Amino acid sequence: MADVIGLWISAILTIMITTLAWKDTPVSKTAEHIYLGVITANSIVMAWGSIDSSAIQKIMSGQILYIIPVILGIMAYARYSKENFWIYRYPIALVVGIGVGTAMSGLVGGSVIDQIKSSFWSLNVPGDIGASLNNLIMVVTLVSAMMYFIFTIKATRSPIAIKLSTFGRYAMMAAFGYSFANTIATRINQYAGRIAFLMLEWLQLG
Amino acid sequence: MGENGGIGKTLANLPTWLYFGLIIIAMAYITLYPLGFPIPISDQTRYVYAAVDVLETGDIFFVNMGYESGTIAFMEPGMVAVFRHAISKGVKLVIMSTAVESPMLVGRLMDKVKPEASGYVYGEDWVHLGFIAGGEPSYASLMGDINGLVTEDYQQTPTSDLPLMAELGAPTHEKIALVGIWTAGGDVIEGWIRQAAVQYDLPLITEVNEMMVPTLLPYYPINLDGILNGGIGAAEYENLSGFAGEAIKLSDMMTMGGLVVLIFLILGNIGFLMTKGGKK
Amino acid sequence: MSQRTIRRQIPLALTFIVGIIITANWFIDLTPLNDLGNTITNFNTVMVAFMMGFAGVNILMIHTRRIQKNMSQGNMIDVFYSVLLLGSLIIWIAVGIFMGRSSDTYQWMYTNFNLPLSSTAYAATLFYLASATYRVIRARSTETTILVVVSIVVIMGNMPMFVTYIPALMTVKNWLADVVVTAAYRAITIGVGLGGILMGVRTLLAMETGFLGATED
Repeated sequence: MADVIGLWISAILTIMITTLAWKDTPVSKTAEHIYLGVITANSIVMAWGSIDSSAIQKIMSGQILYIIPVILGIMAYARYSKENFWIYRYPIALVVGIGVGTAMSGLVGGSVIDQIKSSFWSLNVPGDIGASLNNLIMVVTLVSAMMYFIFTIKATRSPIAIKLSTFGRYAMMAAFGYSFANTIATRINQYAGRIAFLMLEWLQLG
Repeated sequence: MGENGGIGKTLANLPTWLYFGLIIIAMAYITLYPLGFPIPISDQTRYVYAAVDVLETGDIFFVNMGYESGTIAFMEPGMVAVFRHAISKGVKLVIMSTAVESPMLVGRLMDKVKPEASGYVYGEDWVHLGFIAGGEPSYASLMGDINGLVTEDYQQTPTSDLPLMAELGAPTHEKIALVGIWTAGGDVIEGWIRQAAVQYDLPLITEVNEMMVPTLLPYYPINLDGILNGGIGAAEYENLSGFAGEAIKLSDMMTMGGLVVLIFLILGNIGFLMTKGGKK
Repeated sequence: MSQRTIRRQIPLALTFIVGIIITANWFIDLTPLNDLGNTITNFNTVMVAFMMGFAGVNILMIHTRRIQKNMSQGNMIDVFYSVLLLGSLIIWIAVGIFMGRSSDTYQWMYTNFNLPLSSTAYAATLFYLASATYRVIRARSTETTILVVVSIVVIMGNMPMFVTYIPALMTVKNWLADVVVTAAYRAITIGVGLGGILMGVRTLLAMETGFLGATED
């Protein structure tokens, strides 16, 4: 019985929120407000689970050190007080420092060094003119796309640099065209899931 | 020119209700009457398949289930297909989530994967750790010492009671044979690239939504061993691994919906060229 | 110590110190340093989890104010929306925490409310994208013509129906991905990487202080 009620609730909410695409109506607004409430609540419930697993249980088992992030986490709520706003800066400063330190080290290796290292494509692949040509196109595309982001290039008035920069723009438009086509695929797949639910699970037509 | 302009104007300004209606009807129709075209398999899907296929019995496959229900339509079938493949090889699964909705989706996922049918026992052959907050620094912690960060699984069973977690002692990264990331967040996959592949040189595969794939191509093959291209990749993986499932059905719906969008994209441009473009 | 030191300079110094420890932890394989790094990142998990509660507090504050304002103005429909939102927020939190997030009740509520609403809200963006595809994506210049042509080829290449009859579409799509898209996005990846490093250094050196908030000392 609970399953049948649940199925009907799911179907009705699916249709209610779909009307958003048409225009804002009391029906879509009702669904929107329930949506906002339940997703926020779920994130709080899950965050509590993470606190429980990564701090509360540790403190209970004698790892007293983990009282520190709990206190810092509570301190973060000082952001809602004008007079005590500065207290919030301690936890956020730590979170930013940890985040920056973690990401920055990896960026050097992953986004810069590894990327540059793997861009040394051979322009002469023995016995494979196709691969040589592809590698040449990749080198030109990479260099020209990077040149496009050098905004002082026009000031140099070098015709080769300007032409390369223009080619870079064209190459990026081709890449964006690829991304755009894939974005359409993503959105259609997302909606296909909902149609499949309505047709096959709710109406049981299939 | 006037007549062309008239036709062009009509083509460029077809009513939105017609367009949207056609998308819905085309997709709904195909749900009942599938096309059943063969699904060609891309190179990237083969690379993901190969990364799972080299795993051996007892190897640990660490999985970040980082998708929300918004992308469940194609993430779940991809994950089911990869998990079935991994389970057929006797690989152990450690599942955690970086998206708050993901832990709620593990139940229905495992109902479809059916690990118990292959003799898998929870706690010994697979575990579900639930949501772990903190983003990239947490990935670093997990790779360093998973038991130092997490003390209980999603069902609130102490990790000390789970034999698989004991296998993952510090340094955790040394016990992991493959990392798999299912996510619709660019920061999540890039964070894992840095913390697992760049830092520890761990093999890493991912399924992301189609629109994110181009941004990840530069990381292949240096830091990524393969990328499943959303629903398209999931259907290809189902086809390749022989575990036919929901993604293959979805593929037909994507084709019909995409066809309507494609026709309207072309009509809009023809209309534009016949009017403003033509005048230029 | 002056108020400025306590309220601004110490937090900035903390950012620098933990940032340096974590960066050093990446490059230096030294057990005490690695242990310290792990403990600090474990702390981060707990602090961030606490901060996830901001969303709930913000919503509670905004909608409590909104209920008061709309009540006084007689906008009962808006009062209904806010009550609905706060009601669902409170019920979901209560069930999730007191009955347990892995309880059958919470799972049922999630499956039948959160899942359809969340997945459909995202899926409905298809219509906005489809509308833009038809009305905005036009071959107005060389650049947009390239974009339109590549889009058409890749949309067709994504569909088994076209690839079955025109196998060359798959070849072209793969070539675009392996050559043009990889090289173009690599340029962007390197640029973003360099920008990220620069931003990180500036943050650690207290040259970017936006995260401290706009409220004056």
